[in-house]
Amino acid sequence: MYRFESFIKTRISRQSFLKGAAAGLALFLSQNALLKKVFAAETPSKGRKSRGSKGVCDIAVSSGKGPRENTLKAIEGLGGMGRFVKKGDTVLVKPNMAWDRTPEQAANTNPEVVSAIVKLCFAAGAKRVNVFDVPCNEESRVHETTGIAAAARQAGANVYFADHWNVVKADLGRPSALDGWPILKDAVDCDVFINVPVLKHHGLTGLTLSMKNLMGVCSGRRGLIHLNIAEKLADLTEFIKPDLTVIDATRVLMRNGPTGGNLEDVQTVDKVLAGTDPVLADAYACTLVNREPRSISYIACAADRNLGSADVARARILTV
Amino acid sequence: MKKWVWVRRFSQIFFTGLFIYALAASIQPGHWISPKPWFWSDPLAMFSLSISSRTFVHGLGWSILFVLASVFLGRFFCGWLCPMGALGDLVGSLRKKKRKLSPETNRFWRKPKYILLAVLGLLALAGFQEVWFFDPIVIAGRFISMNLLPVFAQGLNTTFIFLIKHIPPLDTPLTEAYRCVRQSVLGSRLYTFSNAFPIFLYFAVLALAGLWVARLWCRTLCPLGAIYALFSRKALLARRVDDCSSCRRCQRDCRMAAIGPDLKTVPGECILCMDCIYECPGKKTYFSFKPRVRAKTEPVSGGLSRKDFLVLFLVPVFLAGFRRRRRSASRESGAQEGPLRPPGALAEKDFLNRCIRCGNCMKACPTNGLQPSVIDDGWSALWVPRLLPNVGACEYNCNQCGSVCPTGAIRPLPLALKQKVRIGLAEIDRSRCLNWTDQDTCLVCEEHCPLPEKAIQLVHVRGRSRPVVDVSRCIGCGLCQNVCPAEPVRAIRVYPLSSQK
Repeated sequence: MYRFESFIKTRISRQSFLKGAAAGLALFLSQNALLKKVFAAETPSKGRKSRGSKGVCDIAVSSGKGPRENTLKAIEGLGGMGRFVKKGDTVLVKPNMAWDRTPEQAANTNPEVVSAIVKLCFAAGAKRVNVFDVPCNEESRVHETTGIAAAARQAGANVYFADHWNVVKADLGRPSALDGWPILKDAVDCDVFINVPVLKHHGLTGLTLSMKNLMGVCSGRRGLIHLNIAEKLADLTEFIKPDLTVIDATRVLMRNGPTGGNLEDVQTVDKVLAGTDPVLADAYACTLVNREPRSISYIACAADRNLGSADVARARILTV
Repeated sequence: MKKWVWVRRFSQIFFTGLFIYALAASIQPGHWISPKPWFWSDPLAMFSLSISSRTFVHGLGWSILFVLASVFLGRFFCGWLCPMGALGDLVGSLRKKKRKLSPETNRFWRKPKYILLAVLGLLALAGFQEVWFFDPIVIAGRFISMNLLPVFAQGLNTTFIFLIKHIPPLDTPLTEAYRCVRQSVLGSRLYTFSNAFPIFLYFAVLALAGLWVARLWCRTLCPLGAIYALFSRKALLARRVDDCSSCRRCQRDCRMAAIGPDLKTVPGECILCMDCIYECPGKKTYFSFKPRVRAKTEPVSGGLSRKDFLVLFLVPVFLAGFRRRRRSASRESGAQEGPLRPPGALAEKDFLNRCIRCGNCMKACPTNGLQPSVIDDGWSALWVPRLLPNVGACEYNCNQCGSVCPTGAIRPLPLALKQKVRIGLAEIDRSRCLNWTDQDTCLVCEEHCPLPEKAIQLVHVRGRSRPVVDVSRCIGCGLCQNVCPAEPVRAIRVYPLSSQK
């Protein structure tokens, strides 16, 4: 047993005092250095490597069958999940899981859409499916209220709080608005990135779509992303290169977005669309709520930079 | 086998552990255990609150039960239930050889707690609740909420991250384990509290005093112990000795110095730790409601002399003169940020009086936005919760602070009502706002506003959308201030309502 009393009564010589002090200082400094090493290690990254798999058509839309069936049909129309997910892959399914709102309030992706995609990934041979988002409200409440965490877990996915300590620094290899921004490493390391946004109103940009949904893989003070947002979202799309974009338009929040909360602002559209080109998917989704794609700043910006096409009229669209 | 000592130790560990668990779990709504009963069973806090606010505080009846129990069972609370007492025993056990004090010293050191109790009682009569600084349950709870749990969580988190980053072969299993721990024990947010060090220091001084003399706080200063001591002077369950051989072993080792020079129990000092049963060489000491052998009872001399009583009465009268509600320094100096109180808090004056600074609300706040006030806000507001939107905003769908408040300083509002309660008003500083100064269109405040009918509206002025606050809707949750990208001072800030000050 540790004897406190004998410890305080021992006389300490000058030499042993100096020795002890030196040892203590060395321990403190080394611990400090270690902690710095642990938390400051941010490796730069040029972006995610995408396989660039294409579907049989540009966009597949399914409507009127409920969120689950719509999702299955849309992905089937694109050629099936097997075109994107190979055996043993690690897949990241990135829903819009940002607000402490129920599925009926339509501020987040419908949980049934997420769970259907997770199941398809496993059926196609995925080893792991990760689901996370960096939310705007308190994280555990968001996970619970949206219903996404429970639905995805039931489908077998790993749902976890975003690891803000595990990030890479964005470095596109040219001067860009996104330079030096911390991006969660799990979003860069995955074999397949499936972006699953919800279509809804947004004050600044007009509509929240797949490119806006990519903000959820950014760490740091995200308010700053809203400065020069079109440029930054285009950079982010170039950095992440999502393999598959599935847009949930089951319930669409028409006003007071992106948070919503009022059921009167929600309109039932009951559509899910899937595509491989994030810009085209966003552009097509605009037409669902009668918006001109080029009026959304980030779509126009991305199309001008040839990251994808905003020309819905020339796209091959399969309606299921 | 020291059977009863082990039973007592188990009780101490169990109830202290349960207290820590209840505080840790309080962040989740609808948890099966609440930390509130620990505060409700505290007659010192409950009586002081009830008397100073002239109301029956919820929990008063519960605390009266504990007082009544002590009439029969003595100071069982101090020895068997109190977390501060458990810590005192733990710290005391680090020292092998106990310090011996003369009977006079022991006698002298029993008095301050009664004087303190009287001071607190008179202050309560005058309408001031000052027990928050001296109540052992509050001190222990505050330490657990503001120091122990956050530091433990930070340490665990750091250790995991360090291991994950530095042991590459164990990377995957460790990450899995970490995520498990994060989801269950750590939660989504790791807490940090401003002003946590003075809180720790105060607790540490009281706790480490036990190294000098065992249970020094309990015997000398604890005003809650004083209440129990007053009511348990003639307790039925008491230490009894048949046929004493005067070996004085029990007197030498008693942690409370509760055995006087005449080898009788000093009234109100025994905490039923059960040590003396096993120290008695002939096993003649026992605890029971009735003596086995009818002994001749002598009137016990104890209590206060006339001089003591005079001191006891004059000291609080003198001290009460010092007690004046001072306007807070930050408000006097015209500083920008007045304190924002949690939703459902009583009016400022009543709130300061009703709050015992236990820290439950701050530990339960999911965004860590509730932080203890520092001394700048004045003594009367020290360690009282205030919302700092720059740290974390008030979650729209959360009413945890009200539901864990043991005293009703924050009313337990139903969620629908809490979402309408206004804690302040947001104001846009047009000289700083990126939109109003034409630097960029950012509108992050409008985006985040959690109200279904947004309290931040966009107006089109000079070819650009600009945010304005709709004061008829704004409830002052502070999320806009929290996310505003303007640096170093946010361009939208929440100010308390003037009527609340």
